[in-house]
Order: sequence, then C-alpha cells, then structure tokens
Amino acid sequence: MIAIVGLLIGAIIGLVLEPEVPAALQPYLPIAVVAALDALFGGLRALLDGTFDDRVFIVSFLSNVVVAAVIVFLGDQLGVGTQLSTAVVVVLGIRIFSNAAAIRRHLFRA
Amino acid sequence: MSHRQPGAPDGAPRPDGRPPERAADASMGLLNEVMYRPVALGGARSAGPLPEGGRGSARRTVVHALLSVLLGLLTVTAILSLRAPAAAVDEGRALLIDQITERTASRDALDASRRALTQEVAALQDELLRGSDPALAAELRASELLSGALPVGGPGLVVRLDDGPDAEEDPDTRVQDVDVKMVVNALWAAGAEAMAVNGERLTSLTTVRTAGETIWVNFVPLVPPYRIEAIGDPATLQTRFARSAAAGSLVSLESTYGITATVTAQDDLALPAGSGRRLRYATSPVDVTSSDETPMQEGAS
Repeated sequence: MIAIVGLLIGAIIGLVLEPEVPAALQPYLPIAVVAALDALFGGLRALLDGTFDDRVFIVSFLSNVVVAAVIVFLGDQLGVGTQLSTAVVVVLGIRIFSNAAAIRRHLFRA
Repeated sequence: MSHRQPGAPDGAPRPDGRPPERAADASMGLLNEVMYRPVALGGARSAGPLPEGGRGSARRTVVHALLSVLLGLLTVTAILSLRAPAAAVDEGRALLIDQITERTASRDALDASRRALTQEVAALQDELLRGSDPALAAELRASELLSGALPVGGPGLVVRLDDGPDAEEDPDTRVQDVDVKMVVNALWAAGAEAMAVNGERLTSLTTVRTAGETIWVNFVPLVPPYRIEAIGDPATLQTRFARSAAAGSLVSLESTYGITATVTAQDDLALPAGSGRRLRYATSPVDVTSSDETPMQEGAS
C-alpha cells in the first residue's frame, strides 16, 4: 500500500509544483506514460489476484519506464526511433489490454 | 518488460489452457508470452521470496515510499508536459501572426515614406529641370508617365475577381495568379494604357505570381477580391475585353469554380505610381531618341 500512497503523494506534488521537463527528455515522455500505464494496470491486476507486492510493483514500474525510455533512446541513436517507439507501444499496448481483460474477469466474472 | 521465469506457477489468466513445454506452437513463444503472461508481478513474486521483518523491512519501506513518490511525480509531470504543447504551439502561432502584422505595418510605413520621398525627389527634379532645360523636363515627364513612374488618372474599366463560395475549404475555387494574368493581358490587349491590381501599379517590371496560396504583385501579397483597374477608353476596352478569350474563360471559371468576375466602366480612376524601380543594367544599344515609340507595356507574365 505504501507504493500506492507514495504514487498519489508524488502525483499531487507533480500537480502542485508542475516541474519543467528538460527539452532533451521530451521525446521519451509519451513512452514513459504508456509504460507507467502498463505498470499501473499490472499492479491493479496483481492486487485483484491477491499477489500485489510493493517491491515488485515499484521495480516493475521503474524498469518499465526506464527500459522503454532506453529503447526509444537507442532507436533515436540508430535512426529507427519511430519504429522502436511503435514496437514499445505495441508490446505495452498488448500487455495493457490483457491486464485490463484480467481485471475485467476479476470484477465482472465475465 | 521482464519475461517471467519459466515454470512460474500462477498469474496467467488461463494457466491450464496453455500447452506444456514442447507445444505445437512453440515457435510462437514470444507472442504467447506477451499475450497470455503479460504480468511480471505474480511471477517475480513467486520467483523471489521476500525476507520479512527486521531492519531491512523498515529501510525497504522507506525506499519504496521514496521510489513510489518519485514515480508518481514522474508520471504526472510527463502527463502534464504532454498536455502542454498544444498551448505552446498556439502561443508560437500567435507570436508569428503578431510578427507578421507588425512587419507588414512597418513595410507599409516604409512604402509610404518611399512614395513620399519619391514624390519629393520628382518635385525637386522637376523644379530644377524646368528652370534649366524645359524640354528635357517635359521629356522626362512623358517617359515617367509611360513607364508607370507617375500616378495617373482617367476613365477606364474595373474588373473585379473574387474567390468562389467554398474558397476556405477548396483551394481550387480560389482565384489563381493565372486568372489575374489572363485578365491583365486581355486588358492590355484591349488597349489599356495603365493598370493596377488592388492598388499595385503594373509596370514593365511587374510580376504577378503565386507563392504559397497568395497572389503577389510587385512582391506585395494581395488578398481577394482582386480589383483590376485599367485606364483607357471605357467603351473600347469593354467591347474588346468582352470579345477576348479571357471573357469566355471568366464565364467558365464562374460556372466551374464559382469565381465571380464583374466588369464595370468608371469615369475617373486614379492609379498610384509604380514601384519606380530604375533600370540598373539594361541599356539601349543605340541611342533611341524617338519619343513617339511607345514603350512596350508588357503585361505580367
């Protein structure tokens, strides 16, 4: 639960302070948001499965965001940034979808 | 993004629905992995048992809290800054529009001052020449009149071209530079002596062209409707213009694109002076002095 409370506190701090993002990091923001969404859905599903764990949640959240950003960064360096972004979005999108399906099964038994 | 440990017992939506290790779709492993075992959480948990209690637990709690605050901050910051660009783009656009308006105003001011100065120069020149060489002054005046360096007035014809009703959506229904050129050339051919489009005097050095979606005359952007004023005998101009190919084209423009063209005769037109650009490089090969030879009034082309 600490993780969720912490996330909320961080979100509120972000909403209040509205920190500026350096221009160099701007290209990675969309991917980071998708990765964060993926981690959130994964966490929600684990919560419903009864297997939620703060450590695992935070580590997967962090690694999702970092790995996604690194892949996009590498892609940019190699000149295939758009394609790799698409790859990341596709993979994360599929994960989000199946996590959402699992959550739906939990909630509605359907 | 991590793949699950092989043999993780639970977590997949249909754990018993998956075939055993050597399945027929073994080559689809990656897709199956992504589709059916998307969550790293359950597997990682069972793979790494958590030591409970003690100092380590307290420290871990603090680290968890800090990391999760950081992640929440990161996510919200990312979302906020992704939502921002629309406003930033609008801002940049407004800034550009401001700059355009400002520069256009300063251009207009400079142009007005140039006109005033040109007039002053002409007046001074006139005054000087009238005293020393009246014949030369008269010749200069005649040349200037013919070359479009002086404002002129007189009776004539006004052709007004306007975009079709759907010009906002359909660029095809806008008046194009070729349409303006066609009318201008037809009017020259019909005997016009001087012409201006939206107050831009046409001289032998005038261009009518399109850049972007705008018609430029004398390198000045024009906005519709386009008012083409031609000085000449209104009756003759009207008759000859009506007989020209351009008149037929205007009719078809109206029926096809909705571009409206109205021709009206006017008793008193006043055309401004041309840009007054001097020839810097072009010289006459022989000393042409005959003043009765009218300079070729070329239409824009």
